Amino acid sequence: MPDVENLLREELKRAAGQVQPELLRPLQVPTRRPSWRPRLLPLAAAAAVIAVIAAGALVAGPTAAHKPAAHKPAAHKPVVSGSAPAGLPRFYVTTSSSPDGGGIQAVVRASASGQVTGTVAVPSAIPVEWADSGGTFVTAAADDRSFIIGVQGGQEPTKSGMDLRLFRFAISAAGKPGHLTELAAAPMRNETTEGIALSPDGKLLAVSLQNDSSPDAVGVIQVLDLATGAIRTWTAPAHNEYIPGPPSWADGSRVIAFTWLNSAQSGLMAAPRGIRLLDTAAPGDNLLAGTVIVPKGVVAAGSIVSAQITPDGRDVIVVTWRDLTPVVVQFAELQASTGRLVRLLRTETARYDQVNVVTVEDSLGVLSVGSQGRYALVQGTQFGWLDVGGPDPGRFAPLPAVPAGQYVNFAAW
Amino acid sequence: MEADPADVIRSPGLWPEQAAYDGAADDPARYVTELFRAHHLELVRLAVLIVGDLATAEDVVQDAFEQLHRRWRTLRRQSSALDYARSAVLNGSRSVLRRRSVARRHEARISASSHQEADAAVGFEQRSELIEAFRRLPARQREVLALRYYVDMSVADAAATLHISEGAVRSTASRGLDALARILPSRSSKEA
Repeated sequence: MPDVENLLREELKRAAGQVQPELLRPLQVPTRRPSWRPRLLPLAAAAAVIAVIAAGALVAGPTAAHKPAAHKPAAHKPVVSGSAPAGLPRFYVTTSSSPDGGGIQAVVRASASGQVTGTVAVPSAIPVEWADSGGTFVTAAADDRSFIIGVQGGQEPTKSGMDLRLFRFAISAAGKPGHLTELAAAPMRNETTEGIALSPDGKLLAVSLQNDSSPDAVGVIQVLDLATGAIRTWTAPAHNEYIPGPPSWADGSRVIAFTWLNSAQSGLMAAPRGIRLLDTAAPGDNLLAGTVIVPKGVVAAGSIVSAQITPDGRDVIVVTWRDLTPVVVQFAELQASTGRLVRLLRTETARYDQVNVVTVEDSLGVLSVGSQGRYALVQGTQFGWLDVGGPDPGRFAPLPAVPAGQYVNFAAW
Repeated sequence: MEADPADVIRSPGLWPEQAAYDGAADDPARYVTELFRAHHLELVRLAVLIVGDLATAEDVVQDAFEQLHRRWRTLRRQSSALDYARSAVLNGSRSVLRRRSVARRHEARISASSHQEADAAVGFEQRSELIEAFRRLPARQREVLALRYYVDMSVADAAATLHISEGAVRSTASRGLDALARILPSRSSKEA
């Protein structure tokens, strides 16, 4: 066997060595998102391209034809009819780059029409191009009027995480947003935020994050009392490869559900391996004291990507995907107590190619469940609302949020 | 041609030259770009061993680059970006092989032509029997053997990169080596 090993080592290096730098096409620095506004690109992208080309070792030959991967996210035409079903939350909030590309804004839209009812600028230290694709979080209380925006800000050079600044604002009955007020209470600094969730009564804010300060990243959930500034922290045991995903509230302001992410799993993204419940009324600070309500990450014939619990705590709305040809995306309702499939709500398919698969997998989310548990804001192959417990389960209506072709990471109603 | 040892990614984990990335921590685009600039060649070479042709390998690495670029904020451990990059390349390579497999099932002639195109595209020299046999191994065995004997990874590092157990790495490598060993007698006799 050693002969085989030595020969193989020699042959593999010989074969690989035939790929020489002059044969390679230069890497193309991508835009952050497929349809990232071109006007935001020039400086950073050009500098990055120059950096790649100037590296010298990887300069392509003059005939090397670059073949950039073709991003073709599903461009959709949002439905903005006025036929909103009863019980549909009136407004939803997303964040995006401002029209002039000069900052980040929270955008309030009417759920029935998709029409913008107001915007408010969000102070942010992050590059504006991240506004459409991450770095900002939004959550709402049950009144459909109170919202909190979380914005990742400064970063210490030796840290991989970022501070999270929190801003509260309210909207009027007509959907006009008031001024932002920065919250004094803030979660752990310089960590990686996974998601935030405002309790239905608007008094508590759950923040799930990854504590990168320890030698091994540790999953943490913190609950901030917005009135007193008091913070309670639940931590996963050290050397645990699991971390909590975005939280959601159930049973009033008592139970927090969160996807349970295996940080060592999957090539790029942490892969959900279940959904945990955390009883905030129980003593202790062990994040694992709660129960896993879905024992495995495979339900409804797919792998869970994102989940939110319904306000009554009875069901979990999940989005799953299957890496098939074509890619299959499914929204399903699971029984919270058993994890069993209650019903399949919606099935979507997407074209299979390497880029598209990544884009689809990257984008899927159950973003916000309305206070009555009837409708959820979801990002599948399109962004929109989904009837998850109303009169017509599975009914979906696309909504506008970000420039066509992009997808929504966080939205709330 | 012997690969320059300096070109070979030897261990997963932290950035190899942290100083080179100082100041880039607040600029994800530059951070990721620097990583791929530094390791482009090595990642393409790794992909070539799995998918067999340069054009596809370049596409795989470009896709991995874009994945990392898009997902930078959501990576669990940004200090392990090289691990993610390598995993992304292997995942992408696996996807390519799976799509080829699907295509072959529907249209057998695609398989024959793809090999010819692959060799023509990269301008490889005549492959050795060992490499030809390596190319016919199941994808997982190829990945394990490439990591173990091209990248010179430890069993533990290969297991971490492929997200499988160390035992699975050992058994998979053993099966692959057994399969390759079976061609060695004929290879030796021809050389004699």
